[in-house]
Amino acid sequence: MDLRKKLQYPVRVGKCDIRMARYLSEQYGGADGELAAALRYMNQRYTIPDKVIGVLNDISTEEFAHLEMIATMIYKLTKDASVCELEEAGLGPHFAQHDHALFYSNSAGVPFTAAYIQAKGDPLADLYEDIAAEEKARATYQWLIDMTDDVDLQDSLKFLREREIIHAIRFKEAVQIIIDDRNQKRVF
Amino acid sequence: MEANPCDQRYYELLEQLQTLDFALVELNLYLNTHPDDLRSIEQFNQLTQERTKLANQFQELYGPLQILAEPIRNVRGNGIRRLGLGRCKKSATVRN
Repeated sequence: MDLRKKLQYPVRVGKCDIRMARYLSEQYGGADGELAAALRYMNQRYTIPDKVIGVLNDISTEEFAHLEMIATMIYKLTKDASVCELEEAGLGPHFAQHDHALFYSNSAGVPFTAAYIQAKGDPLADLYEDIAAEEKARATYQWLIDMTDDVDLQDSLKFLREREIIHAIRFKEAVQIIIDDRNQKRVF
Repeated sequence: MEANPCDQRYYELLEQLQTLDFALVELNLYLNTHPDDLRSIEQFNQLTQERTKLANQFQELYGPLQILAEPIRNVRGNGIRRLGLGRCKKSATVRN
């Protein structure tokens, strides 16, 4: 994997905001988060038809870059927080387990599980799941943008929201490529 | 190597790189589902060259952009070193 010493898009935060860090966990270790997306596509990639392997492979890689951005946000928003402040924002149980470390859990503190994702071996079933995943992630980003008044944080979140839209478009095109391919083969 | 936070050039070049890389990511995704779009292929190739040039310039000034297992040229020009293997103690201790 390509480990570059820079983020895909800059992450700046205007203030220490533990409440937002907690909500951002949804996109870190949540069901519709970046980890779920990256792992889902990277795994489905092996049994998807050759024509659309690139779509899954490359979008998965980009999701890892987004995971890194979310991690940077959570880290920056909590690194200077005291134990009291963490407890007040509902991160007392997190601190008891992890101190200031990040962990793959959702905004309610539930650890990540592979049960969030699927691989059916059926190209259309997999791709429709992927489209739904992108739309759900896009919606979550919108709620997160609405929950903060930090314009720097909003800027990074808006970038991520736009990427979900592009990914959904590419997955829809992949669906069409597979459908066209099947129709073509039926002629002969 | 940590960048000097006062070095504005570092951030300017990094932003230019980020911009080029983003254009390449986007074109790459697009070409996955539009492999016959010649204009986009052309644009991809042109931006790849620009990116390589800019990355080289950046690395000359600020050291490697990527964590590699391959030999890289020391930023001070005193030979090859391998990251992480610690084979070349003399140049590995060089700090710019």
